[in-house]
Amino acid sequence: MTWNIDTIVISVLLGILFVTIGARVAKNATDGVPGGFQNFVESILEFVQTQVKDSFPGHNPLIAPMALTIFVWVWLMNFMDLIPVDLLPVIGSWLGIHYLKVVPTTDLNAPMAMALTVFLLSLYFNLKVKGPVGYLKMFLFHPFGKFAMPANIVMTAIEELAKPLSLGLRLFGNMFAGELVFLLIALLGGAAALGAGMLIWFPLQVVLDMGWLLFHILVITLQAFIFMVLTIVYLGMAHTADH
Amino acid sequence: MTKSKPKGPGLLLISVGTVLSSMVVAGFLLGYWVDAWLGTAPIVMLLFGGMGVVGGFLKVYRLLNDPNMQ
Repeated sequence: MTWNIDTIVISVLLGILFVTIGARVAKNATDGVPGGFQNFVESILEFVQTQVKDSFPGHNPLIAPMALTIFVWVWLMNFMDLIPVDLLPVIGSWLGIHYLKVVPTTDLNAPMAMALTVFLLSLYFNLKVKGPVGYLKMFLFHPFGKFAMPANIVMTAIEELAKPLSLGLRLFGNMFAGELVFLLIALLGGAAALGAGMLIWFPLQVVLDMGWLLFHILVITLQAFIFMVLTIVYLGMAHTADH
Repeated sequence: MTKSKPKGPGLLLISVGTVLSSMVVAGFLLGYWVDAWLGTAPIVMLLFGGMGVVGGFLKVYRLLNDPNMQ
């Protein structure tokens, strides 16, 4: 078995960063006029709360904190993409780390692990809310009615399996593609290693990098947001009886 | 459903392609596991893969018709 230590370490560090900042803001929180950063954190909280209220039908105190965690954590992991691509690996190679993947979400293991966790949670809530019999009924009668039971079982199983797959692959695909574009843009200037004449491409690299950077801020936010909303939706589907 | 319909699933429209492809992949994976379990090498995998394709198209079609369906 291979352990992707770079992914684990960086994602845990980002989690610690999130918890530390959150704890500090909570400790310094005031009832009066909030400062700039407290305001910012509160607006994120309110935003997530609105999403949960809009998309989640039942009542479950676990959902909102989990949605917040997913949103901020995934965003932070995606944000590592905006650090210049070779900066941290080069620093790592000085320290003796010869292979370093900076963005945890461009390692398939991280998004898939989160998607699987969501899947297991939704399995748990399905069994808890609908009961084993109700959940089994969904498998037996869901897409085609009760006269095509074997096909129904297979179809529902495929559908359930496709949910975590698409959740994880979507995040991974978008982040990996984004990272790849950054690498390709970096190669424009990197071609100067072949000869100084290639430096003619350097202005193009700056412009393209700037453009993709600005666009990528939207992408990472959108992907974190989609991951959060779909988590809420999938868990919400587990909480509704009439599926 | 008791409350107003949730808005979230509309977001699935952003990446309908992922839904389609993951249905196909899920079908093949499931078939692969069943094959490994029953020892019926490629038959179940192809069957379930085909069902994944059909189910994926169906799901995308329904999704595009009514983004609020789950």
